[in-house]
Amino acid sequence: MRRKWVKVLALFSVLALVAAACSQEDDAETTTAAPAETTTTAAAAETTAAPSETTEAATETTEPGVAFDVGVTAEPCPNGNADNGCIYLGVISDLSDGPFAPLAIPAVAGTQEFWNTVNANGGVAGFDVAITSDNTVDAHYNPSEHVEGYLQIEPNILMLAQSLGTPQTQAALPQYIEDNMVAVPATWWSGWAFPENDGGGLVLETGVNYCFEAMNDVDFVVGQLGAEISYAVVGFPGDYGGDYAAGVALGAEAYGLGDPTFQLTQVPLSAGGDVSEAVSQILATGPNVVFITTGPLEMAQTMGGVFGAGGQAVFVGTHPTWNPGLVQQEALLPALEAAYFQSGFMPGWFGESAGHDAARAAADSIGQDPNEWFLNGWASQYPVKALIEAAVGNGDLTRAGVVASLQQLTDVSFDGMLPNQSYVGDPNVSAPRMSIINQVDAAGPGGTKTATGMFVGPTAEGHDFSAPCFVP
Amino acid sequence: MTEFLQATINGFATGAIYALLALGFVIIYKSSEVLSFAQSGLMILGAFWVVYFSTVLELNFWVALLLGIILSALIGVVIERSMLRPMVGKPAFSVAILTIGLNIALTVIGFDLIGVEIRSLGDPWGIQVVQMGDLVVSRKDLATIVSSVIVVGSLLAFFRYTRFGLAMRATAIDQETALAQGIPVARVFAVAWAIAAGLATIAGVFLGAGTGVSAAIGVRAIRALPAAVIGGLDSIPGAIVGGLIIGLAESYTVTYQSEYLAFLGQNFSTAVAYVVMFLVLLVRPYGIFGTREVVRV
Repeated sequence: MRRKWVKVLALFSVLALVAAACSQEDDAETTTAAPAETTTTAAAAETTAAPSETTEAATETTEPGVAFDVGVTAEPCPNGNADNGCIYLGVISDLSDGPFAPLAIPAVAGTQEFWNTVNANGGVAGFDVAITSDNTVDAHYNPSEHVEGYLQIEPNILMLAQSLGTPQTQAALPQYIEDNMVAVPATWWSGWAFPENDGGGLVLETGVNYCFEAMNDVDFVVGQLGAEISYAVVGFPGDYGGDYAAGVALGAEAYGLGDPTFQLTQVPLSAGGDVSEAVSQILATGPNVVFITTGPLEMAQTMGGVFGAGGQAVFVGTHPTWNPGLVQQEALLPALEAAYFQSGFMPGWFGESAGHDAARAAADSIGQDPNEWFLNGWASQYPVKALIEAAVGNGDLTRAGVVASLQQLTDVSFDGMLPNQSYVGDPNVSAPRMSIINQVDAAGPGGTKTATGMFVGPTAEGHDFSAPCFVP
Repeated sequence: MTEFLQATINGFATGAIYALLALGFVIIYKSSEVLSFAQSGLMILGAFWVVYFSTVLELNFWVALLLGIILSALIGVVIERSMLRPMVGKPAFSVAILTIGLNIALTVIGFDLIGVEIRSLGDPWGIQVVQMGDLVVSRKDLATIVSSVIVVGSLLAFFRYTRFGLAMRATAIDQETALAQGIPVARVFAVAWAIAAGLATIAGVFLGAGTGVSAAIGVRAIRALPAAVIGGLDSIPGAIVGGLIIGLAESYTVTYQSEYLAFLGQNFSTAVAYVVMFLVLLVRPYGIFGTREVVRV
C-alpha cells in the first residue's frame, strides 16, 4: 500500500516538474513577448545573433521621426505618460547577499526614483524611462552570474542603468561591445576613462575614479598628520582594491612615505574571507593610517578587530566602505567617529545643490532613509538622460544611434551634485579629479558630515593620466 | 613571547566558537548517526533571534540570549521531528544530502530575516579591551572563552550525571539495545538537535559580538566541520580539541605565516583548517579521538 502511495507521489512530482517547466517557458515567452507586440522584440530576439543586421531590419520610427529598435517602444511604459514612448533600461547589481548589497539596494532605488521623477515631469524627449523588475538582475557580485543575467535581459533593454562591479563589468564588456550596449558602471576603475578599456566609451562612469580618490586621500592624511606617517593598504582583489592601492602608491611616492607596513588583499567575507589577517597585520606592524578598499562589513570588522584588541589607527576608506547602517553599531561608533574617514566622488546627504534637493525630495516620497548611495544611484543617471536627449535630437534612438551620440557628451550637468563631466577627449584632460572626504557623524543625515568639501589635491592635480593606474 | 601568548588567547577564543559548533555536529552524529551539515544555517537563524529579541523587542541582552537559545532549540526539535524522523533507516548519504538542503533553506531564511545590513546584537562586550600585563585581550574574547568553558562543562555534566544524559550516551553506543531497554530514542534524537541548535546560537552570538551580525557569518561556521572531523566525528572531547586546534592553527597562521612562510601567500589562514584536517586524517583516518571501525573483510 505504502509503495503504491510512493508511486502516486512520484508521478505527481514528475507532473508538477513538467508543469513548472512549461510554466517557466510561458513566463519566458511572456517576458519577451511584452515588447514583442511591438516589432521591437522581434528584433531583439534576432539581435543577439546578428546585431547590426537585425537592428537595421527592425528599426521603427515614431511620428517626430526618431528611429528606434531594441529596448524602445512607441507604446507608453507601464503606468507611464500616455503620449510618450517607452525606453527600457536594465540593472545588474548586487541585491541580496553579496558584499555590496547594503549599498547597491539604495543605489538602485536612487536610479529608479531618478527616472520616476523624470517621467513625472513629462519624460525625456518624448519618452518615459522604465526599469522593470524583469530587467533587474541580482548577480550576487559574481561575474559569471552578471554575464548570464545580462544575456537574459539584453533583448529587452536599450541601455544598462547600472552594471555593478569592475570584474563583473569587465567580464560582460565583450558582450556589451557586441550589442552596442552603453552601461553605467557602479565601479570607479581608472581604466574606464580609456576607450581601449570600455569598448570605445560604452561605460559611462560618474565622478572621480578610485586612483585619483586615493591620491586625494593621501594628500588629506598628510595634511592632517604630516609626512612622517606609516601606512598600510587593505583592499579587495581586482581593480577595486588594485586601482585604489595604485593611487595610494602614487600619493605615497609624492610625499616620500616609503612602502606600506603591509599590503593585503582582503577576500570578501561573503566569499569565505576573514579579517583576522588584516587585524593581525595592523596590530603587528602598527601603521598610523590604514587605507582600506573593501565592503562596509569588512571595514567594520577590521576596525572592530583592531580597536577591540587595543590597537589604534586612522582608517581612510573609499566610498563603498561606508554604510549608514554602521551608525547603529553602538560598540563601534566611538571608533568610527574618532578614526574613520570616507572619501567619495560627491557630497553626501548634507550636499547643497538642486540635484541634492530633488533627490532628497524623491527619497522622502518613498520613505527612503538618508543614504548617500541613493544619491549615487540618482546622480549616475544624468549622463544617461543627456545621452537619450542627444540620440533623440539626432533622430536615432537605436543602440547604434545611442553609441554614435556618445561623442556629444562633452559637458554633462549633474544639477550641481558634482562638477560637470565630459565623456569625450583626452582622459588626462576630461577625467574628474575632485573628491570629498567625510567623517562619521551619527547625528548627521546619512551618518556623515564633510571634512573637506570637494577638492583636488596636488598629487592628483599633477598626475599625468595617460594610462590606467592599475591594469589587471 | 607576548606575541605568542596573544596569538594563543585569540586562538582559544576562535577555537571555542568552532568547538561549540563542532559539538553540535558530534552530538547529532553520536545520537542519531546523522552527519548534519545544517549547523551554519542554525547558527545564522539563532543569531538572528538574539538580534531580534535584543534590538527589535529591546529586551535585556541576557534575556534575549536565553530566549534565542530556547527558540533555536525548539526549531531544532521541529526540524528533527518533521524532516529527520521520516529518514530513520534511510541511507546515511541520503540523510546527509537532506541536511545540506536544510542548511541552504535555513541560510536563505536567515538572510531574509537579517537582511543586507549589519545587525547589532546589543551585547555588553563591545570592542573594549582588558589589559593583562603585556597582553591586551578583548572583553569579547574573554567572554567567549569563559562562556564556552561553562557551556561545555555543563554539557559534559549533563551527559555524565543526569538520567537523560545517560540515555543519550546509551543511545550513542547502540540504538537498538537502548530502545530494547526502554530508552526513548526518538526523544534522544530530538534533544540532540535541540542542543546542537542552542550551541550554534551561542556560537553565532560570539561571532557577531562587538561588530555585529551579518549573513556572512555563516561562511565562517563551515570551518567547524574540519574541527569535528579532526577530533573524531563521534567524540565529544574530540570536538572540543578539534575546535581549539583549528582556532589556534588559524591564529598562529595569521600571526606568523606572513613572516616565516610568506610563499604560501595571503589569506592562507582561511585554508589552514582544511590543511590541518588533511594532515590529521592522513595519520588518523577516524580523527584524533574517533572510534576506529573494524570491518570484517
